[in-house]
Amino acid sequence: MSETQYELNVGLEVHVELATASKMFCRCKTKFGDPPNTNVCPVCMGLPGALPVANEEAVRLGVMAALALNCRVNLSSRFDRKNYFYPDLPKAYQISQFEEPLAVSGYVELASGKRIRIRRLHLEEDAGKSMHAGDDITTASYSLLDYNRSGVPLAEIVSEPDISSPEEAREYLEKMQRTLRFAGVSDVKMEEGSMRVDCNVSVRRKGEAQMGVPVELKNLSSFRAVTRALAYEYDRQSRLIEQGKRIARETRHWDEDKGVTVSLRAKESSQDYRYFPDPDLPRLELDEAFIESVQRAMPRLPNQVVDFYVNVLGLPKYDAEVLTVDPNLVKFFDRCVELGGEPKPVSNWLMGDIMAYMNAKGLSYDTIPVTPENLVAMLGLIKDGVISGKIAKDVLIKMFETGKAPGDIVKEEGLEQVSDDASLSVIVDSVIAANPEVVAQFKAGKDKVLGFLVGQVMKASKGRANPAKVNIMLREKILS
Amino acid sequence: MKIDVKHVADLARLKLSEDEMRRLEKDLESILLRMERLKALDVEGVEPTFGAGDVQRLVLDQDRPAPGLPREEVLKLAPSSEGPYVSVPREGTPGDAPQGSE
Amino acid sequence: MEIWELGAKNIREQVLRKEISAQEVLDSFLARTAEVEPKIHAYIELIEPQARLDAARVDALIMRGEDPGPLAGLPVALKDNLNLKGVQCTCASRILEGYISPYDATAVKKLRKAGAVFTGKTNCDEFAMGSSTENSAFGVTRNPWDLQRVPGGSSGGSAAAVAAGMAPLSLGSDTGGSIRQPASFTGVCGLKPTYGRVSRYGLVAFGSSLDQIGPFGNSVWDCALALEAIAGEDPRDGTTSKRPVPRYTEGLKRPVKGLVAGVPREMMELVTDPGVRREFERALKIISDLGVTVVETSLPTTEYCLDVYYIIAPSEASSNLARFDGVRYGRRAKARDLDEMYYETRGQGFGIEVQRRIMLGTFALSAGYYDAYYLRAARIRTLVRRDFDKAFAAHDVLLSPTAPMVAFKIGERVDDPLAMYAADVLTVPVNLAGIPALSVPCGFSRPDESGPELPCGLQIMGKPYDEETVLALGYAFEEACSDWFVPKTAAMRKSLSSQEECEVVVRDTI
Ligand SMILES: [Mg+2]
Ligand SMILES: [Zn+2]
Repeated sequence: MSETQYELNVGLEVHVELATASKMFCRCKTKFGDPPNTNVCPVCMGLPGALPVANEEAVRLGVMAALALNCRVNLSSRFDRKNYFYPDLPKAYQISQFEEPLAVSGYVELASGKRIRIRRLHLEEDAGKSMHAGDDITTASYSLLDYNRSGVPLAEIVSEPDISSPEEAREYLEKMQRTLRFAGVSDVKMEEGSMRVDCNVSVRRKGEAQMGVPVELKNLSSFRAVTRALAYEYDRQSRLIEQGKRIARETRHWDEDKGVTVSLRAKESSQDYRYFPDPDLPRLELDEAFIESVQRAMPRLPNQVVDFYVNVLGLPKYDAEVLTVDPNLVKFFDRCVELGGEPKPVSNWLMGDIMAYMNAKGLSYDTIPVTPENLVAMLGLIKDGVISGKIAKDVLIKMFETGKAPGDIVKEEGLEQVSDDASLSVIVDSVIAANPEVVAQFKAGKDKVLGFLVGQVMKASKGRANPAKVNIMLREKILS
Repeated sequence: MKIDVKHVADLARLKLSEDEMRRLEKDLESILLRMERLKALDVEGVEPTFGAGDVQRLVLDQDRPAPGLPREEVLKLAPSSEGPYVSVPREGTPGDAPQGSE
Repeated sequence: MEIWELGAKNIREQVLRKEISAQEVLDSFLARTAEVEPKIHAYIELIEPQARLDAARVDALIMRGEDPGPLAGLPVALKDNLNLKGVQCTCASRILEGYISPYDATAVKKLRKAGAVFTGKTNCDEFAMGSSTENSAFGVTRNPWDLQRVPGGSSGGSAAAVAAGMAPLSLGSDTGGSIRQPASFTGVCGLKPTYGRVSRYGLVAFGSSLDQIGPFGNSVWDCALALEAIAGEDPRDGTTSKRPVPRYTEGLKRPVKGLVAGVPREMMELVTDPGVRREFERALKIISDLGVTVVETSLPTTEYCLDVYYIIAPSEASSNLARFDGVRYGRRAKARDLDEMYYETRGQGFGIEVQRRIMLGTFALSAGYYDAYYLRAARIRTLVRRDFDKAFAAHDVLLSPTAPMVAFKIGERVDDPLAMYAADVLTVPVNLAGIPALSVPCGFSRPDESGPELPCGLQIMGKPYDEETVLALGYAFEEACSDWFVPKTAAMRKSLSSQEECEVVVRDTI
């Protein structure tokens, strides 16, 4: 089987939880991680007689997401009922937009310039959460239900099957995640379930006009899972075609541990959701002025920020891409620059020691352990020669741990560079006295050995000596 | 008008006896037969009416959280619960001990 | 005269003047209930202890000189599909037997605030699906005018409670005639307000685009009083209208002279009972004598309304009733796995008529049939509304009998769904159009030579949100009839006292 003989076509359905304080159709809290069944009411428990009332902020965030993803927002859209039975779905229908979605025709642009088209973006409510008591889904004798998530607002974003490799899928998801995070519409955290991805995968022979049979993949809980599952499916499906076998239209479950997909249910007996317009909810009517106001309130999106960093601040493209991984990082960086920090050194420290520390501690960018003010102050100390770059690394660790200003740390710990002539002179003299052979070599014109002597002075001063000054003083003392 | 009563009962999750099935089939067919008359009406280009009120735009509420129901009350309503959760029999293969309140 | 024999208007005035206490009022109605309820079975549950607390609270307010509200001390019976916190809400269904509601419906909340005293939850057809109150898991309610007959439905218990003198006011719900038709069958007034006039929050949904809560009373004035208390915008129901709520009781005496009333000829063609037709024509004569111009008019889509209704209402119901699955509340059948739990819970929990409508609605929404059934019905609904718009452009109100027949015998139609559905043929067009309509007693017909006289109702239909004109005409009409109608009701109530108790008939198809 030749690798290049087959073509992969993937469409992604992404659900993101909108960052509202209350639910889509009731005013229960949406807070993640609250004790089970504490954020529920007659509406989101589907009690008889309760009625839905839509959340204005969810609509605003939905529009914001749509605009950020280059979609066209429909001025008039509608909520339908999607009817199916499942214990985590309290009303036995999900309120969703089927016939007339909030927005259509958007795209995400990949680094290659290729655009992955977005077919539609619509609003809907989330279901509750069911857990299976006992070992796993196959041996548990009952399921446990938590309805805190029931009714949390979601935007569902459906792409066209334009994605043609696992890497493109990953890039699409990362770009979308960044964009939505910058737009402030969602946390977009896969690990907390505020971003969920389903794939529709098909494979066909290259050049074939007809799309392959779509297979739906579920249980993809990380970007890595998405790329692995897609790679697996590409192999599986192209092998089946190669063998002349039929690909079943089905839903498959990604088994993260075994690294395989397994058939969950046939799609032939596809569910009949009996969609119809929800009679409790009149049409969602928006006007141009509202959409313009959302557009005006749109925060800068990652590609705009990258452009600015490269073209105005003169950062390398690489730095700009790394810094725009998260809006909080961008905010931090921008503030540093605003406070007079030089862009490149700020970027270096952020991408270097700060990120390393945060990764080690597992911190997220909403809790950067130093303030922009303190980082800029530290850079100033380096620039003014108060501390060396090397000492600064230690000062930074102290700043992480104590939250103190760098100036205070330097003072308390006595870390200032030794620049005054008297103290330096004593150390330099002792180094000259201790290394007569090296001094002789230098005198004989072997310029390179000076570095060794400077190192010895630095060592003796525990790194606090000002290297430039040491250099000059050594020369003067040996040669005079 | 033939109607697949079994399929419809499955969609609606209704357990019906053979007798009930036959009876409903007969009833539904006579009701639907009567409704055939509707096909005579020309509704080409007529907008459907899905709601009857004078409220034409979705009412939007402010995003301000409000307290809901205490958990004890929610769990008290449930036919069965375990700890802080509502519980239901799992999906899957029959043959286990029956679950439920009856 | 006993307190329970006074209308809501008189009772309220006497309570406010401190001539009688709310507790005395309640005592009187409870005593009357003890006497006649065993014959009628209007209630699923009486809630005497809570009612006594409510009444005491009203008395305390009056004692302190605080405003007890416009319904001060008036007992009100609630149809059992309205949520009253802390009280069972069964919708006359096994599937909700024992379900204690944790919250109040908006209409209930408003009534309480207005000083009402809730007596209990009344019987109805299961989930309001039916026209006779025979489809109840908890037994059949009997018509006070003839205990062998149905009170109409689905709000038969609320209608019978008022007719028999067990409560001066009650609430029902009307999806296709469920307030007006039983009002007609039991000789009381019943009002279906405009869709959106009264919040549906806390009313267990049947057909969400059709349902409205409305009052039953002994007089138009009583209905106006109750409507005034329950109407208005509700932030919890996004289909309620923002329009201000008029003082309906104050508008009752508006002159009716000069109004133009249309009588849709297509509706008259559907009236099967000659007695009903005769009494209606007599009512038209009285209305003309009030100075109203009565003319024939046309609603060409009338003949399709029943079919459209029996697609739309069951479709919405099939979705609304899907939540009764035994997971979070209500009864759960014994089951080995999840699927079995769903099938058994819903198979055992719902009665045959509810299952029939769930099936009908599920079918009408299912893949391949949606366009031909649900969508087509929704389009025809537009034509129905246009018919009404056109008629109301030329007429202030439309008039018809409320039902094409008088109360029928228990068991007579129950096994023939089409015959049962026919009882709604004059009321469903109103729900499809979303307009207000009042049923006011207009005469008597005697279908059995040997049997008692049975009341029939006049249906007054109005423009959207024009309850005032509807009520004003109903009030004027009632005034003109009171000298012969009121004594007949009093005689019926008196004879009811001497009747034998009736056993509770629970139909086995439930
Ligand atoms: Mg979805
Ligand atoms: Zn809630």
